[in-house]
Amino acid sequence: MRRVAASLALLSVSTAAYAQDSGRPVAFIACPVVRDTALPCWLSSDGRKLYFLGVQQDLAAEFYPPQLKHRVLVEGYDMGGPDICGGTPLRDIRVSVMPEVSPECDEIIPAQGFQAPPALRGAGPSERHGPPAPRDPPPAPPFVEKTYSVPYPFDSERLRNRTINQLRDAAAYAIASRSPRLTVTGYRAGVRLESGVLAELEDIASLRAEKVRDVLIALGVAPEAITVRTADVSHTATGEQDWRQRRVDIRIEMP
Amino acid sequence: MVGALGITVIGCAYRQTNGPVVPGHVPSQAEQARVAPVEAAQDTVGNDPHWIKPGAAITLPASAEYPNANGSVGFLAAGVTETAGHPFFTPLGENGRACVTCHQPSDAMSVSVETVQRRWRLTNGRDSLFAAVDGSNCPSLPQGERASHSLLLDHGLFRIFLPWPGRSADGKPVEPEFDIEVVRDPSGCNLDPVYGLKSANPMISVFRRPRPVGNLKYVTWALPALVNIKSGLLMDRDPETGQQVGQNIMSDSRQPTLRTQAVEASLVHLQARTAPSRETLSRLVEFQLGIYFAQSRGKQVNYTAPGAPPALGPAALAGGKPGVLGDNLYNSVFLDFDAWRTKAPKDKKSVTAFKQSVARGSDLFLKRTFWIRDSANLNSIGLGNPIKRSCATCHNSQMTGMDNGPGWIDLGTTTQPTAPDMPHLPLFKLTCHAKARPHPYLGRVVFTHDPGRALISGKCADIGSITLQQMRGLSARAPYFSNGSAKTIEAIVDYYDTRYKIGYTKQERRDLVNFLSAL
Repeated sequence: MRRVAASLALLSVSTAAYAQDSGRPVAFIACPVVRDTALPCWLSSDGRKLYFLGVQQDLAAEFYPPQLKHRVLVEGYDMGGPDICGGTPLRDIRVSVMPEVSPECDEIIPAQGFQAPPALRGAGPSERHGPPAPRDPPPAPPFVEKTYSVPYPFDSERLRNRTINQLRDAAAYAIASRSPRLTVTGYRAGVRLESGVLAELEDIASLRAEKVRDVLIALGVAPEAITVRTADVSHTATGEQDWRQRRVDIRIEMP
Repeated sequence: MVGALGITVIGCAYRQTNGPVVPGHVPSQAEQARVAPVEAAQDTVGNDPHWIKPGAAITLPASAEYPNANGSVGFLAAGVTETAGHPFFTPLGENGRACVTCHQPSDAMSVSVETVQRRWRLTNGRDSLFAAVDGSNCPSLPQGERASHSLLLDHGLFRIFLPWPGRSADGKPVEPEFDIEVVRDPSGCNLDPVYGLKSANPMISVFRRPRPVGNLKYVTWALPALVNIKSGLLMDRDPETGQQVGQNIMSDSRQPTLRTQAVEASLVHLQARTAPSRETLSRLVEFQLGIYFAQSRGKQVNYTAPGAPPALGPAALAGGKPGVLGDNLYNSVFLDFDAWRTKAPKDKKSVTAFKQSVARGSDLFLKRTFWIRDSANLNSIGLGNPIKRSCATCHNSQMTGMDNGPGWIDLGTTTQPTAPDMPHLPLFKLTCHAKARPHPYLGRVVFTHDPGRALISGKCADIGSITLQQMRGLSARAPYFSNGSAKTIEAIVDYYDTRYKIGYTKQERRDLVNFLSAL
């Protein structure tokens, strides 16, 4: 069971202290909408303001768009910048697709003269060879204890293309440094909304950690070197950068 | 543990004693196949010049063409094959069938419903094609009566029976995320006391088309990705070699390799008592990997003539490179059709019109964008729902139009409300457990004619997902989709047009049909 720990006197996140330099923290769950621009734009409103979330890309991109028929958790900072595609952009944006089906979230809105910002890939087939993904050089001494942190969307243990690359880097470092011990810690987090704290699925921490463990082993890390732990930090949600807690840490220890 | 088939658990998979690896779901299937009646087949050829009878002793040329309604399909093998004693052409089991029974060169290495009907007429239903085990709606029905074989005769569908709950590679039950209820069972097999879900050997029966056996270097190619982009899990591996596999063999990707597929086919479709030897499997796989097929002629056009578009004809497939991602404008799925965009000096008007139509169809396939939506294992894997893309987004693998990655997607062909009305097929109600994640677009209660990949993975997210198949040789092997729901190539285009509200014009529809017919 989870999950909403109601808060009696919550400050509205949307009206929380406004930090002039970093913007106003925003965290809400709502239906996304997609704008029928040549390259689709994704937007969502917290009931007061329409926010620009990002544009359609492919799986190599940092931004994975929302899904109609699902609500979306939007987190970021409202910097008050000029609108994009009719919505206010958010700095440091994180978008999580909520797992349950929400049939009411089903709106495609017309382009209305808006244009999507440029992207590496447009709609339809790609037009040029993509640039090779930048990769770190192979690990080299001196080796020191190091922690890799793998982020996740809310309620998800799914590994994205970029996070798989992080695991490759972590495994390469562990193998090159002959680390005797890796501690994989999966976290269960929460997000503070106006209505209270919404905690992730109860078993999400172990799902995340076990999956990372499996991948590290497939990448050549010795199973006996890996210790798996879980931590529930869902009660620590503040409404600001709660996404940082949705993660798996891989601590690579030195002999 | 050693079971009835002499099978031993060896950790990651079963291995038959001194024999090949047998993945986990197969022993249950084999047990049912042993129960199903075997009747003496009368594999007379009759007036059927292109039919290859199991056990026939013929010389199969290295190159051949076979006529069909749109021209002819071309067949290439690695060399001349003497079929006598060759395991692909030899009955390996009890029911008289061989691999070739359902994988005929004249039918682009599948078997069309037209051929099925012809075989029924020529043999009065006694061809081994109609074996009770899966060539009838259910083995418990009176064999030899047309009504008992209606799914095969009318829709080209064979019964695929899988243990429920499913089995992992090592034979352990997969804990499903959903419960299955049989809502409708026109074949009677899902409720049958011997063959059904509540039998002593619980089995679900779905009905599927046989996939073509050819162009397999493309089908078996393995994306060098660590994690399966559909499931988020590690990619499957070959239980014999430990090498990563592509997970694109069969409509539910249940078999990792051609060798394991051949084991299942022998024990189940052919009702063999024991799995083929390793040597036999090697011969089968070697032969299959040497086969290429594609439409080679239209009604008026030779697709392999000098100057023809470079992806057409079977030799193009033999010479191509597998694993090339073609969802792009610089090295496209079916290369280019530029040679057919302008009139050739000697071409008749009707020939020019056809060639230009095919070229326009290739453009539509590659470039025409539309909203692709509510398709689990496509929209749900991070691309967004909907996405504005083209046919080539899913059909992205160069030369075949398969998916370069593990290709199961719920295109809606088997799930309500998007599946066509198919009263002849079973209908199941699947209810996802409270703790499971639901199907991403159909929710926690799904009605389906075929749960597809979910029968293997046990995941709600996979309900209705069917692995994309290659788009070659279509003119020789109607009907289409895994459940045969598209009787014609036109019906394929119409399904997508309706499903995704594309709005093709009459000319666009014709162009796409011509394009697909030429592959």
